Amino acid sequence: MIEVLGVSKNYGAQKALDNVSLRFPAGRVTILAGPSGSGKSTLLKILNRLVEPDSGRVTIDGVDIRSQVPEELRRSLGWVIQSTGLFPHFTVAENIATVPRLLKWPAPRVDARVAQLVDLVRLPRSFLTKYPHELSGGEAQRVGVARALGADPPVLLMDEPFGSLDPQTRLALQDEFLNLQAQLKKTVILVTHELDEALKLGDFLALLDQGSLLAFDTPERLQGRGGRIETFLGREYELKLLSRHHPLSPTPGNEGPSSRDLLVEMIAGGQPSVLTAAGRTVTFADLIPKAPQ
Amino acid sequence: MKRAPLWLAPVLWLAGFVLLVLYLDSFLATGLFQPRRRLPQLAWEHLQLTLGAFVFGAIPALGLFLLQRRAGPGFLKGFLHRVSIFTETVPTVALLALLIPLAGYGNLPILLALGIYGIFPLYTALDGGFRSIPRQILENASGLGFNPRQRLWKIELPLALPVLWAGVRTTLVNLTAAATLGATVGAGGFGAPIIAGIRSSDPLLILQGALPSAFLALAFDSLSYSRTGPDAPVRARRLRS
Ligand SMILES: Nc1ncnc2c1ncn2[C@@H]1O[C@H](COP(=O)(O)OP(=O)(O)OP(=O)(O)O)[C@@H](O)[C@H]1O
Ligand SMILES: [Mg+2]
Repeated sequence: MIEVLGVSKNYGAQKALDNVSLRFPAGRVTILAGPSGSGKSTLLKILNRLVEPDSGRVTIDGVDIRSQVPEELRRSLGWVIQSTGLFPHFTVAENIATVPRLLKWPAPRVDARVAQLVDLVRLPRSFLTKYPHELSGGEAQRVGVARALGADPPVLLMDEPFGSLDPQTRLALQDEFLNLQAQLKKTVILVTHELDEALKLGDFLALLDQGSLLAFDTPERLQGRGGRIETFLGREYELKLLSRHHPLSPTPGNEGPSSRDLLVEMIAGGQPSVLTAAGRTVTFADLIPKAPQ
Repeated sequence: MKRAPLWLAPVLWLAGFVLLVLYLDSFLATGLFQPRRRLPQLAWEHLQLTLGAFVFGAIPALGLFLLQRRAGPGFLKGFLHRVSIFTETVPTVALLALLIPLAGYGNLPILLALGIYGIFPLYTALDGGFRSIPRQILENASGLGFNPRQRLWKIELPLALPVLWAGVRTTLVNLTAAATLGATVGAGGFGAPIIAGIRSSDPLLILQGALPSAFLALAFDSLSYSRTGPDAPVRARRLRS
């Protein structure tokens, strides 16, 4: 578990983070959301010591991160940022092998790991010898994720990883991310300013505003809080939240159509109920989450 | 599709250069000018002058660059930038004319003068090369766990190399041409037949110096480390160390 305790950071007169404290639960996806300039990236960089805070501290499993050599800390925290981040003079294989090689793994182990990772992010093995400029945005981003997973770090830090992609690729990569996360169960801290993305991917939502932590909770429990939280979440929050509810699947997960999908079908069909492919009739009442999770 | 190896062009130009020197040396009467020296001797002098001046320029350029890198974006940067632009806009001949009275006459002075002439293009190439690397990539390298030294050798240097290399080539070409001016202050090299030719209105004598000098410049210009242009990845460089 990663714990942030009273962290503040100023850039000259510019306040970037103001006394932020929160815990990132292990094995879960926490979204850092907030308007531009609210300090999301700064917080992420404080976690891997790319930025040192003016005050406060960060611990990982109870150990202060300042007790570690920065480079060694960083090799244990997977790092993915927007698609421009691949090394242009490294092949796909070399990019993915970056952290294992920094850790001086023997060559056969590196090669085996690289092969495993391209399979994991579902790229053909023939891509291993390509250079980043030969990849599409979505492919490059998969390589970025594979590179972050290189030495199997328990934590992934992702700064707008799907930021510069077209909507379709973005949705596909989000789905793949969820699949991966279901297998790997990493502690993920993901920055985005897209609420839809936050609700789709996040177990928890941390809202930042002008450097302060506005709220930290599950998306469901952020509903109806009023004030600045509501202003940020917007008027359609309840509707967006329906995309996290799956009335047909017994356990909360991402299987089956969401309440939001079903509502769209009802509106399109002009009926307050819909017949699913499995032959079940879902009524409007079924769409509403029963008890707050 | 198999491309010609990288060393082919420089080797061909160099072979052409050597043949040209030998040919001109046998064809034209040697030593029509004083003191009597044969063309291969002049070629050797010219090469020494050019490469020596390059080294004389490269050392302070590297020093300035390291100083500026350590100091960060301070006043030095703006100042150096302006000086380097100034030296690039002033014609070589004028610059040398200004430097020679300061440096004096003979081989060492011209070496120094040419070296000074080489400092700023080389500094600009270093500075521009490293500055051409996107900040995101540097941050990513650190974020993934490269330490500063690993980042310099494995990320920054290979990515700065295209711009850096272009600057090195241009500087060598310019120094090759500029070195002919050495003859005006008593240094050797291809400048000697050129100056003698001008004095005696002998175009053949001028060609005897000018042609090999041009070939040498072209040989330098053909030096390249990558076969697919400036954006090409550096294939030879591997992360594994
Ligand atoms: N290196 C820096 N030097 C000076 N100010 C900085 C620096 N990095 C960030 N800031 C400032 O700190 C504040 C927070 O920046 P940060 O990058 O953390 O915002 P963000 O929430 O990630 O925004 P965005 O969504 O636009 O990426 C901003 O006001 C920014 O201008
Ligand atoms: Mg940001």
